[in-house]
Amino acid sequence: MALLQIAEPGQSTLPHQHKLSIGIDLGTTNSLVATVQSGLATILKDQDDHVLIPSVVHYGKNITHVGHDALPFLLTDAKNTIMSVKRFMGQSLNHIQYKDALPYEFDEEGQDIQLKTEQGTKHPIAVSADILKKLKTMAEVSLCGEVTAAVITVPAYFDDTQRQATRDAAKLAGLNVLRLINEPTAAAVAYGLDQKKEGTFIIYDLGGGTFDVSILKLHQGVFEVLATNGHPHLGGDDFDQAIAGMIRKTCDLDQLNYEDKRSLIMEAKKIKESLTTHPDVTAKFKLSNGKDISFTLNRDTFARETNALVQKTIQPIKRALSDAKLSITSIDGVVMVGGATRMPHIQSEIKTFFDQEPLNNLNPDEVVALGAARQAHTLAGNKSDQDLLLLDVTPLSLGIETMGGLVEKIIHRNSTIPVAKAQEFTTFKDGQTAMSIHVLQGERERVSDCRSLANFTLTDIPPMVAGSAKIRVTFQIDADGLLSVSAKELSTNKETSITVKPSYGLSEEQMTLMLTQSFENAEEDKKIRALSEAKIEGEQIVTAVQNALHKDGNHLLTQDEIKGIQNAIDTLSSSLKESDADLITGLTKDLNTLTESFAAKLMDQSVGNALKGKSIDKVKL
Amino acid sequence: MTQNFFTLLNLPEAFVVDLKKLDQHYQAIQKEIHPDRFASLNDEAKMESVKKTAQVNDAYQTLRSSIRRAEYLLHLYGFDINDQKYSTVPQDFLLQQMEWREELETHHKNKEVLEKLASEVSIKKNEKIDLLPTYFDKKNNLPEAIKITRELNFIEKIEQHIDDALIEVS
Repeated sequence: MALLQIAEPGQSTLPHQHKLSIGIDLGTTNSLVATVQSGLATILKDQDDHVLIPSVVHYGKNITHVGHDALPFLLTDAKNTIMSVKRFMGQSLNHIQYKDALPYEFDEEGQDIQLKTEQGTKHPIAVSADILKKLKTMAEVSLCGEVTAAVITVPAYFDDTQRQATRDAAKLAGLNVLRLINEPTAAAVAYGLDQKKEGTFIIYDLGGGTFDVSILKLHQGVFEVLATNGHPHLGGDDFDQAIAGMIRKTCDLDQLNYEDKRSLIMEAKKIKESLTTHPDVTAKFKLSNGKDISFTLNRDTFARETNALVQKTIQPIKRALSDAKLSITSIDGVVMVGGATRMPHIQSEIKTFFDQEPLNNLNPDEVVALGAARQAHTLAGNKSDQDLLLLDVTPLSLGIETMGGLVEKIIHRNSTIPVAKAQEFTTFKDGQTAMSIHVLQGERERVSDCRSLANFTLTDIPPMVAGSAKIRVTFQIDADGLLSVSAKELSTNKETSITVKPSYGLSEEQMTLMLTQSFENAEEDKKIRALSEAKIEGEQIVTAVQNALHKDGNHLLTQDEIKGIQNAIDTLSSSLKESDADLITGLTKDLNTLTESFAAKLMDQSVGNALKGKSIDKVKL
Repeated sequence: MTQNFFTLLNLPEAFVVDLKKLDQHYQAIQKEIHPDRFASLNDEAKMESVKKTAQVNDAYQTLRSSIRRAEYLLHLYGFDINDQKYSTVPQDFLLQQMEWREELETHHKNKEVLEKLASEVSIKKNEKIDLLPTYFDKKNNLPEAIKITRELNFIEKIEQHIDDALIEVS
């Protein structure tokens, strides 16, 4: 019971525990891990001193390679070597761009994208999980300890489905995710803390496969996102594809095999990167049939041919400015994030648009991971030197389907999260006991133009005359940007059951199956781990509740309530001496339930204290 | 039940709000109850914090905007401004609206005209907002406050449309 953190700030980590928390930038092209050591955020390196870990997985017959180890297979075994899997996260098959240019065999059954490999069909969530596992192990080797908690960054413009997919991948990788945070927000944290800057900043984040723009107000440790916008499928990869397209056209190539498709993309990427430092570049390479290819490209042609892509980033900036009710002149700085912002024509376009020199003083590849590490450190309960507070927003509006295939918006884009909105519904027929609600995300008016998230079926509605049942449905988006829905019939005050049918992703059974598979050989480990986790959680709550009782019990609770809680504490404490994980978890849960209303009272009290107490002085100018 | 937004943010229940205080109180509360403060703790505390923070966010967003604040106050006073009985709009306001819409439709690709229109609408909006304090003061003239708030809703919509058009041009 956690409200104690209010009473005793900075004391949530028990002294005998050595807790390592990491920040992960799970990128389209490369991924990074960072952590806070002695107050400083640092990027972790692998044993070969690499900082960037390629987000590439090779599925060989009996072995899986991830990162640098997978690179050699990109050309020799293209079909079984997956890169840029992030672009597939939360996407269905009919949404893939350049499907024919990609060297994969897609499983055409079902809605989700699935890739056929030597090791069977792979879901993008499973591929991401393999990358995360690699990063976790790398961090554990580098830090010589077990990683207990992580913050993973996602593009700000990721929808609910893509966020959920990322959460599921982390679960499969055995990572305890404290929070998903938005990449531009993480970058702003690193930038703001590093440069000690205050004001209104734009984060322009063009990664390998995603584009985000966020406007933040930085003030005394508070990072408030005013608006965010972006493009879910726009990044460095698209510039590679553009160059690959030029090569195909110029050299008259079609009907390429998997390996040639891949080498074309890789050559294109090399050309793009060289053009950052050279005015023109010539690439010479051989196709698998022995044909020699020579292709020259200069900076101006590249800029002209990809201008449409650059312009695609301008529209979201204008939208974000409009949503934040700001003009260009009120922006104090434009921070460039993501490797793709190195392209000279992007730099010059942004400079012209904002009429100021963009800020490139932090490494655009590393800044997101560094910010994530900072936040992981704070969230893990470490007392931070700064009173860091992130106030983020939801990128897309959330609505429900109404008559005629239209969407009625319930939560508007750029609402600060957590956010909850309730909507009342009534029954259409006499005695109706169930109803279905289709939830969507997006800005357009028609259902077919928005992203379908899930169908919620409410059952157990008490039978009444049509129109007399009043069902209040609450849509809540939590601090990870994830949606949950609850419903209550108001005249009987009865909770209605909800079953969710997500439009995408792994079902509960698929998740369980994958989890068991990954733990198959570690059944014993799992038990030991479960027990130690249960004990730690049990100890924490006992200490926490005791402290809270001691401090606030007498004036917030009755003597009977205190006695009941004390009993539950005693039972739990004695179970901690035994080795029954299930028993401990059960008793912990009991104590939790018992202290629920106490928690709510403490929460209200702390709101009161915040207004009266010291906290106000802290925010005073 | 949902707490009164003014009480929640410890501000006097009035149309005129000290925005600096609003920001300070909001951030002070957030620093205590935001889910980030409970990230490594148990689910019940997390859920409680998400619920409370969502309420505080709702209160803050409502009180920060003059128009939302006016709507909320009227709601507290027991008026539903979307009620049919308030649906008549003064003739001159209606004409003004039609004029603006026509201008927007004819010139939706002309950046200069749009910018001029935007600033004209914005001036009108602020003029109307400036009328509200006196109407709300001691509940002086609530029927007039309802009328103005409804008109501001229309103005906000057209403002959004002009903004959308401006994003499309250039």
